[in-house]
Amino acid sequence: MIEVKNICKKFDEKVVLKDITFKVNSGETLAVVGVSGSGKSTILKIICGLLEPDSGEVILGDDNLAMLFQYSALFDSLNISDNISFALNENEAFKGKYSKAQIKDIVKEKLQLVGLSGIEQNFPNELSGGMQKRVSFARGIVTDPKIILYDEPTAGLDPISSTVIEDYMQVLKKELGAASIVVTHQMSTITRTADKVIMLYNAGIVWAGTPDEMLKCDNEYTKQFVEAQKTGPMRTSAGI
Amino acid sequence: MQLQEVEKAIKSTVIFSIFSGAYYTFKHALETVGYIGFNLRDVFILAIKRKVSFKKVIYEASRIGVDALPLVIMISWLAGMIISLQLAVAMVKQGGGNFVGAFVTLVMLKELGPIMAAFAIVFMEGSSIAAEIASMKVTEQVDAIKTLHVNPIQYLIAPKVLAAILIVPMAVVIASVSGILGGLFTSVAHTELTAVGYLESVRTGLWMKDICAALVKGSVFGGIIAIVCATIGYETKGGALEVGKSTTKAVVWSITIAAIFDYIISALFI
Repeated sequence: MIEVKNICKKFDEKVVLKDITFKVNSGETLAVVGVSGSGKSTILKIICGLLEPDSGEVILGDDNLAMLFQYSALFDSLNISDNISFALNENEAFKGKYSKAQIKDIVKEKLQLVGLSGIEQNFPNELSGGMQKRVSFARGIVTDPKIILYDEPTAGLDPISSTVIEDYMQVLKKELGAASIVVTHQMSTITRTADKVIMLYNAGIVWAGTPDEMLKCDNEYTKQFVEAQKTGPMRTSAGI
Repeated sequence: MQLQEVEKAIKSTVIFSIFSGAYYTFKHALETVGYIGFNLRDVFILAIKRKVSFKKVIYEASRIGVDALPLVIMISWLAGMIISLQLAVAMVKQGGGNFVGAFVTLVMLKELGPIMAAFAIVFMEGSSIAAEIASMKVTEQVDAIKTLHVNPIQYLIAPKVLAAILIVPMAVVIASVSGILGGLFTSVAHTELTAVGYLESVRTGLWMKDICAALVKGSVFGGIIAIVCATIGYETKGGALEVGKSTTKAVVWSITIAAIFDYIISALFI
């Protein structure tokens, strides 16, 4: 479970988040959408502890949390096996818990889950963008997290790779029963993976509902977003 | 004139630009010193609590030592040759040939050995440490380490700092020996001094206090280079341009701080 209560965040004088409140239960996925610069990734960084909110609180049902980054953020000096087993080898809570053979088996199992068997000895720069994203999934779920945060998991991927990633998100939801938040711009990711949606604009939540409601409702914000119109109440951070 | 216009006019003056530039540079420098201090404190706390992997320290030590060794030997050899070239000819003419080896030893051990080793380590390893950590920072790899509940200071910085503290004194010894041998080469080639006479002179110039000072300088310089370069890399924000700027800044800061500590240690061991 993830509960965000009245979060506010400013960068210098710019208010990025103002009084944001929502709750995601176990086994649920919340999609956070909005134009570029609306504070979507900031919410994820606050939830996973990379940023401190100026006020408000985040309540997590479990400390075991995974964050999957937009550009994968794989450790380029480590091979795929060491990337995936990183938390098991370096995190104090898991260090020494598993033998080398067990870690090898876990890595193999997680790679199988994301459909990438046999690449343990490769390095991240030898993989395509889609494969790197899948490896970052495997690295994130190696500790069986109960909370998963996805930062634009399908950005920059072709439609087929996007579908593959969305499928894995659904598999993970079923397998781990985790509470998930996905920051995305892609409608297919929203409709295929999310149970609930919130739309951010002007530092606040301007709309909340389900993906179906988002497609059907007459709200001017969701309509502009779904139909990708330039005219409407929303402007990007670049002023477009 | 409106107050805002006066403010704008003041801000557009050259003097204001110079002072505000100096203020921000000073503020930024103080912040960097603060980050270095906090990270150094954390490294020592982790080391005392034995939270730093010995295997990683040995790996980093071998990397730092092996990579920088050829440059350490080469520049120290050349420094020894140059000093000897300046000294030997003049001293032999004045009848002081017996002291050439002792002088070269003194200079290499007390000053040039540690400095040459520090230069080689900064250029070969310090810049590499800064660039590695800075590029990890801008590509969110450091954030990934944090979200996997691993302390980046413990994983990335502490092994490098402890390794440098251990390995740089050895580099100083090698640099000093290399410089003394470079001096031997020049002395024998350009004067009538013999190798045996030079080495005998070297023996008279070796003092335990000087050897200790050289080793202390090596450890301090190693620690400074690693913590400064790692911290500046760790505080990098932005993209590829900032990675390059951080690397340059790390080298400049390392050499400057090492020079300050060189003076302090030299004064203590005088």
